Amino acid sequence: MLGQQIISGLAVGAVYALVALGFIIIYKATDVVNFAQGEMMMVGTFLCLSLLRFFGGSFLIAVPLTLFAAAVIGITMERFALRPLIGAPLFTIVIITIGLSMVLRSVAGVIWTHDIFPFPAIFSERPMHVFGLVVTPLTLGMVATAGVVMALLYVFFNHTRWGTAMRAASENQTAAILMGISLRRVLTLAWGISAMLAAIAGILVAPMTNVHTNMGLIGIKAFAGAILGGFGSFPGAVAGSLLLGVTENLAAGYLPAGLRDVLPALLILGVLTLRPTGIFGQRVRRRL
Amino acid sequence: MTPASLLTIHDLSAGYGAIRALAGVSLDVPPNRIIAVLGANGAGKTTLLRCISGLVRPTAGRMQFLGQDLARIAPEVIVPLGISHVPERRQVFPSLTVLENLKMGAFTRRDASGITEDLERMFAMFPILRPRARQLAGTLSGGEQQMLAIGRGLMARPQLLMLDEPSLGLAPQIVDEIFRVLGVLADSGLTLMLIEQNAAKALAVAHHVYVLQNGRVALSAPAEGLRGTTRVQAVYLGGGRRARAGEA
Amino acid sequence: MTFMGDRHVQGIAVVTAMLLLVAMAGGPYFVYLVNLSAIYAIAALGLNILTGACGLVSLGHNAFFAIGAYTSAVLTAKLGVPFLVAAPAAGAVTTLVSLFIGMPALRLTGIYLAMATLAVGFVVEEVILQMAGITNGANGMSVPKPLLFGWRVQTDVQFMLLIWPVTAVCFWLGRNMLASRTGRAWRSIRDNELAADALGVSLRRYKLLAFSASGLLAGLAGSLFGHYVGFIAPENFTWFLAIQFLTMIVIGGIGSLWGALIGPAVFIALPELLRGAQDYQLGVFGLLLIIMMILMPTGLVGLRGAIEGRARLRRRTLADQKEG
Repeated sequence: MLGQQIISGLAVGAVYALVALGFIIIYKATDVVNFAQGEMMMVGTFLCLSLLRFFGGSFLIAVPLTLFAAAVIGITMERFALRPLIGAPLFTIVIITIGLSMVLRSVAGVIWTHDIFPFPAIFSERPMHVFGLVVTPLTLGMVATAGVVMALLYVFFNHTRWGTAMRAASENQTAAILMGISLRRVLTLAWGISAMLAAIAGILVAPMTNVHTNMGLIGIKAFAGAILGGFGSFPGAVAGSLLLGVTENLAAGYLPAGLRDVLPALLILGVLTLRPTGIFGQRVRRRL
Repeated sequence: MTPASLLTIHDLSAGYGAIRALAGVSLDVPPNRIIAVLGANGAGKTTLLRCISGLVRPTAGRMQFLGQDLARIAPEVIVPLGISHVPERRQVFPSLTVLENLKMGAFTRRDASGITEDLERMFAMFPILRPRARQLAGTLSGGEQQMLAIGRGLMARPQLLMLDEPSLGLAPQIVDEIFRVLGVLADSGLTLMLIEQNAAKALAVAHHVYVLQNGRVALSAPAEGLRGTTRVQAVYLGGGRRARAGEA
Repeated sequence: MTFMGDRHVQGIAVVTAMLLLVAMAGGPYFVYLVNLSAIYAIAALGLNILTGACGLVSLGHNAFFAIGAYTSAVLTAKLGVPFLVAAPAAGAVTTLVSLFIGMPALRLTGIYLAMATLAVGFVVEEVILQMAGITNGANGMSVPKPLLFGWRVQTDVQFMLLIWPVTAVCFWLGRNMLASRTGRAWRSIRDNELAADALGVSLRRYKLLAFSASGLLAGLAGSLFGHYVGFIAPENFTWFLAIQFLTMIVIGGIGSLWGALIGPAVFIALPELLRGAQDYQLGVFGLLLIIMMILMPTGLVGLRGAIEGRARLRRRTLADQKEG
């Protein structure tokens, strides 16, 4: 029983981790905290739903198209709403991304209505017995997919030209420009990748939560996960998110419903009180 | 008569908000020479480099490199054009390794074999970097970081290398070594534009010297005639700050 | 400067008189909107002090509004405390809570502070739900109409006579704070905390002051809100409300006194204009926020300054060109 809760906690945590990584990538590249990350996930999931309907349920076609569309949306958001405000104060950025989240939610509501829709699972939901635990391929698939995605991100950021360039730019924009690195391109990449991560997360978690315009609230949980991890470190965000997912699940068994809902918030407050810069802390960045 | 210039700056003005950092600077950088730009803090030297490399947009004046007008070009294009700027205080990427930093220098290049060759050349020029290739740049000492920064700048195979106060905060032996390397680079055909507060060291290696004061060129003369004189100090003193020659 | 001699107070008095007249003409619904604006304005002023002037981004303003509302409601409804005691008490409680939150928050900066305030908002909402014995939980509770010296405030116009003076006093106090050394200290902290600290501005004192002022105002506003609408439930005070408050000060003008008055008014008026397009309301607000931050970061209040500034710039540029 305990093992099962941990596994499903890890699965949900893995999804949080993907969204959280999206946050961090945008944050490291641009100092922007993207309050619309959850809504990007929601829109990506709806897009996939529609594409699945159009292509007769084929994930093979729908998923790549969804990723592409998500990237386009993310890049468009960056281009028109964020780029004019490079260097603006935190407040401005917060407001803009909140505004973006509202626009996304509204548009989604108009296109798809505010009803709740079931979402087909990309992996089977038939329970299996593994090492005495009852799990579903979906649960394992969530963890595995997230793992693969993270591995790909690792390779990208550490072994490719642009990935390294993004890391460089996030540390020192001036020096990055002097290398000939286009900051505009870095921004585009950051938002495109984050949008895709959000879409993948949505596709993985939607069978469990169903698709609806309020789905974006998962963003808050991913936030909590990212903050637990210090909001600046990739491994931290992953660890924090997994921790949150598992804790939530364990708490579900032992705490009243209300308390469980507010657990991410309590964790955030707890961590910030004890360590004002998150568990893993954060380096100081140099900006232009 | 100077040979055809690599870089020509004509009447350049630039500022930050209400502050005018440059107020009509003109200078010439002929190919294959070391040009030193001296001056006290706030004289406008860093702003000059920043204008050239596209970080700051000038308010007036012209900058021409190999016949190309630099003002209208995006900073990312300046590097492939042949100008490399080693910024003040090194500014290496601290959480990238030495190797990654060097590779970032070659970001605009696509010739993989040429890049590998050049990496080897950098390690030959700065041997202390080789054992530290996989070390995080932020853990290097000041002198090592300076060498890394110069190496990073060289990885772009520039025609013009601009250095902003390479001797700042470094021990004299390291400064000597760095200036020795700069001399070697100039001998091999590279054009150098060197900003320094350490006038003595700069005078020793440069061919021509400009002294900036309050955003203007207060003195322009061949270095030979200035060595051992107090003319440079006089200009510094005139501006209200002493040039402490020989101090790192 | 005396209360009535203050130009701003006179301004507000004139506006109030005008509104009263228009309200009589416009009918009870209009008066209702005007009253709601005035209540939100008090809360918006609080947020404008904390986030706008002092630069401490708060995403949890809804929490203080809620605490004020529920404290006042519980005191009057469950304990029979008269409104004239309950409302200030609500303000006091909220001030204490905001101080309690403000102290650990001193160590937090930027996004961490924003996240913490967001978290506080969620926790407070949950606490209200959990204390169902007192607050009636998700079902909400009725709030009695205020009884002032034997006179029960019932109609919208009567509420107007209660609310607007409170708003005026709050704004007068707010104006004094913003224009005084305190206000300058706040703005210096917002613009460059390190520099302010180096110059001897007590970060601790002024940040806590901002927190308490903001809490007090939100609490008072919450109290008035509860008694005015007569029924409150946790769903009135969600994170969405926090965003709405942020929207109000963005529209009106961040850090500006008048902005805290204009913002809520526009914010309330807009849905009325968008009556037909309910679905689009959220999206329109979102777009409004984005456009305002890009084009008019100083809000409506800054419009005049922006126009003047642009004219000045044009004159200066022309002069520069002549110099050659």
